[in-house]
Amino acid sequence: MELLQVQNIKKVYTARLGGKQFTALNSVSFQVARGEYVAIMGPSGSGKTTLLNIIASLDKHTAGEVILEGRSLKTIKDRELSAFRRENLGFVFQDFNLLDTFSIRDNILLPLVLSNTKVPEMEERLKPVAESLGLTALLDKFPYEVSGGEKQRTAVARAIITRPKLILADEPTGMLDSKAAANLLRIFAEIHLGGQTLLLVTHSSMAASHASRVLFIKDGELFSQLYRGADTQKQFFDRIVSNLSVLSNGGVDIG
Amino acid sequence: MARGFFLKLALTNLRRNRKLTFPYFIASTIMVGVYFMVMMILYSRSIGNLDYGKTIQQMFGMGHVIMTILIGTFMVYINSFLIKGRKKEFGLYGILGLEKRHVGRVIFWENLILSSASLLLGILAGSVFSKLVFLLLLFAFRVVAAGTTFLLPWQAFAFTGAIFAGIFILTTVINLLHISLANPVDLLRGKQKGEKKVRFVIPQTFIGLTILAWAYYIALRVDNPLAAMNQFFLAVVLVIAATYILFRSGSVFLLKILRNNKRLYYKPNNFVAISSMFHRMKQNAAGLASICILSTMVLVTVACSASLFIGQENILADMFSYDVEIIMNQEITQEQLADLNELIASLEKKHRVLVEDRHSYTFGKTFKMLKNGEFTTPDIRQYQTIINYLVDITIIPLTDYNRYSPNKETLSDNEILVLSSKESGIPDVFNVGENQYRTKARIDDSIFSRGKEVYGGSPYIVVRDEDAMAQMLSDFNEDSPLRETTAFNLQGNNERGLKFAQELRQGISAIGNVQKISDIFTYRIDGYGIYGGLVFLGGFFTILFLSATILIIYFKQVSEGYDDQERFAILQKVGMVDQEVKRTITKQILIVFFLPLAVAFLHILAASPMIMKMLQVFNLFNTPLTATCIAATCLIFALVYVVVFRLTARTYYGIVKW
Ligand SMILES: Nc1ncnc2c1ncn2[C@@H]1O[C@H](COP(=O)(O)OP(=O)(O)OP(=O)(O)O)[C@@H](O)[C@H]1O
Ligand SMILES: [Mg+2]
Repeated sequence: MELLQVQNIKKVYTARLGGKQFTALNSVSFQVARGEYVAIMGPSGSGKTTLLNIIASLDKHTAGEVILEGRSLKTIKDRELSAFRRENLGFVFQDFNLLDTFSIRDNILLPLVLSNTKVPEMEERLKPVAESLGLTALLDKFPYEVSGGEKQRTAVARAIITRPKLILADEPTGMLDSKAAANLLRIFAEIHLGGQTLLLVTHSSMAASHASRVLFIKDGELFSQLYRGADTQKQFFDRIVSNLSVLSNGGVDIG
Repeated sequence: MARGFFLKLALTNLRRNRKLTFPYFIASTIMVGVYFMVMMILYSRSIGNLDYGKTIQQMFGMGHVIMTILIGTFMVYINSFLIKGRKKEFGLYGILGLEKRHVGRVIFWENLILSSASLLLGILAGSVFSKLVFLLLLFAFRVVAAGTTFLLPWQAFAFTGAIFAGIFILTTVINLLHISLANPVDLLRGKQKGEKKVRFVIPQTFIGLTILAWAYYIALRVDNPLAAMNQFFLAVVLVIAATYILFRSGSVFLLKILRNNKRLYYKPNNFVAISSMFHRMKQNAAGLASICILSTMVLVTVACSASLFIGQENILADMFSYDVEIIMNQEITQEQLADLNELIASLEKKHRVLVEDRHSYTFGKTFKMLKNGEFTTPDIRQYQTIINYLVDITIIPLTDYNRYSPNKETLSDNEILVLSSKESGIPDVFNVGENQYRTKARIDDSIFSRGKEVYGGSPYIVVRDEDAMAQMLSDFNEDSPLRETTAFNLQGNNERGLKFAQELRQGISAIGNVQKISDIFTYRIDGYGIYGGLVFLGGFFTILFLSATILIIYFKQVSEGYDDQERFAILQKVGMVDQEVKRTITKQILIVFFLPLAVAFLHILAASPMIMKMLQVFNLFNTPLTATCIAATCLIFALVYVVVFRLTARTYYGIVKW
């Protein structure tokens, strides 16, 4: 069975004043298998963030179904949503979303603490995660004392420490320079190799070429998708670039 | 770039930042208004011409120096709120290509607009309220304002203008320094850089606790009014220092301990609460300490003024056991006494008052120190402790005592009766000079010692006859002669009593052998001047402290709000349940804002013995009254605080948007 099933998702935003409606997503359907690494690309305003927020249960869709491990998000009660999110999903945001009141260590531990994990177990889990992300020396620093790349690695650590079923990342490389971005992508690739399922929204063909599959969204609809298959990363990158030019021939700036 | 551009930008900024600029404007308007009124009182000739106007002007003369310092400090402090919150914006200007001197000009214009607007409005409001203040003063002095005209003195305008121009220049310079010392990136990061590491937490906490203990020790141990007066200032300074140190390092110390206890710390609620509190306390320590100190000052000021004002009658009753007391030489003749009695009777009729409790007797007086049952002559070098042991002894003969007493006593040589409404400390057997005296009986209710009040009553010693009186006086080394007195109460209101006393005073000069008259009515009027003035000064300080407190609370709420908005969103995304987030944040806000109040109450509690002692300098011995005033003030202040908190919390929730 697929890990994530997205069926005919529709999202309509209603402006607060005047009741003007805007359809951000229209009948989007796709599936993600366990252990897959899927990238989502598309021009600015095409609805990528909207889609990710819906899968993350941060936002509500207007119609359709999102099913995680056979369970529809719609059946989850509001007050259980936070716990559900905490236990099943990990997020990496473009702007990190770290709490400046917590040290790096506490930021990483936050979701574990929220689920009442015992202290020894937390420490046990923290160690390998911090080591693999090169954060061990920074654990006692505060977010405003570390670099952007380090912050983003902290955010990744926070996302993976709960061993979530699915990791969602919205343009995680957007605020990083190319070196830090490459570093982060390597980390994602490693996590993927470890069997983790990943969903990554990105504008960068380079970032997308690490994935096993790329979905292209345009004007709120699924436009096309590419499988990496047996391609090398370079070959896959070229295919993504040429596919993007097809996408932009529609006259849309890909941002 | 044209000047108009900067002016326009300044205006836009003021409007956009109105959540901060408007309260700043209100605050400085209040400060200007209060200052103007203080200056008005100080220089108004209409007030100077009132009966006790000079007294109040002297009091304000002393008070206004402290007030000026306070206002200056406060304005600089809230200005720092204004500038801190906007560092990011200034950084952005720099990046958008505005040069520093351009930004400086914008800031200059903003400050100029704010300052001059509040100066104008403050003076306007001050002028309007001045008339009201004048009327209140007339009321406080119980003066009938027939034909008194009221003019605003030019000095009020000049000095208010000068002081606030000075504050304007000071704040502008501070703001410009902020801008010129920082590069755009620093400014952009402004807020985060504000996170200071608190160093030497443990020694600081220790020092803070020591200073606080010292201050409390002084306050609790003080055992006499003069020492209380002398040491009050020291105690205040110590408490202020300790409060600032402890709010900063003590809180960090405590939270660090909590944070190091992993089992406790890594629980969902504690986790968020402790670390946010950590952050908050570091950022807010100074502000919270200020709120605490200001609150304490409000409480002390209000409690003291209220006690004195309400306690006026107690003070008078203590000073005057009887409304009128006439002291005469012993040589006074029967004719002269008859003249005096006639005068009293005629005045009694004329002013429609009734003489009551009249009693006359021969007496001798001596002031001695009575310590552990031994009498000594007061030593001026021990002036601080004298007041605790000083006794004002009146010696009267047995015949006079028996005349007014239902049960007749007899005394042999060296036997005495002690008349005192409270424990006098005079022992059963004691030696004075060559002689040993024995107390035959202690009588706690007699017309001599009864008086109106029980708090400060001085003892009377009854001896066998006038020879024994002379003997005892010489034993006490007292060379003042025996005198005669007649004392009585008057039934009738103060106005009639006052006329009675004034005419009595004029009348006795014609009689001869009458030394002096002391009466409660004249002093009561003086009291209105002194205590009315004190209450007035207290009122002004209260307005000042209270508006400062309210404003700091408000500014804190707003800045907290902006911080929490972000934090709240992140916590939710990471998977904290909504209600949980709300609950922990609400709890923290409550703790942070009510901590200063709790500490202020603690300060007051420690200070109350000192306050009570200090009020004794003003002859207010009614400790229950003082205690009631302190308690009532605390209660009312707590209510005001809660209301202020609720109103400002609304702004906070508006920003966080729950
Ligand atoms: N809360 C909202 N209310 C109304 N319209 C919205 C809202 N959020 C997003 N939209 C609109 O929905 C569309 C999709 O937005 P979305 O943020 O998903 O785009 P995106 O693909 O993530 O773009 P980008 O690559 O620039 O981040 C946009 O046209 C946006 O204007
Ligand atoms: Mg987006």
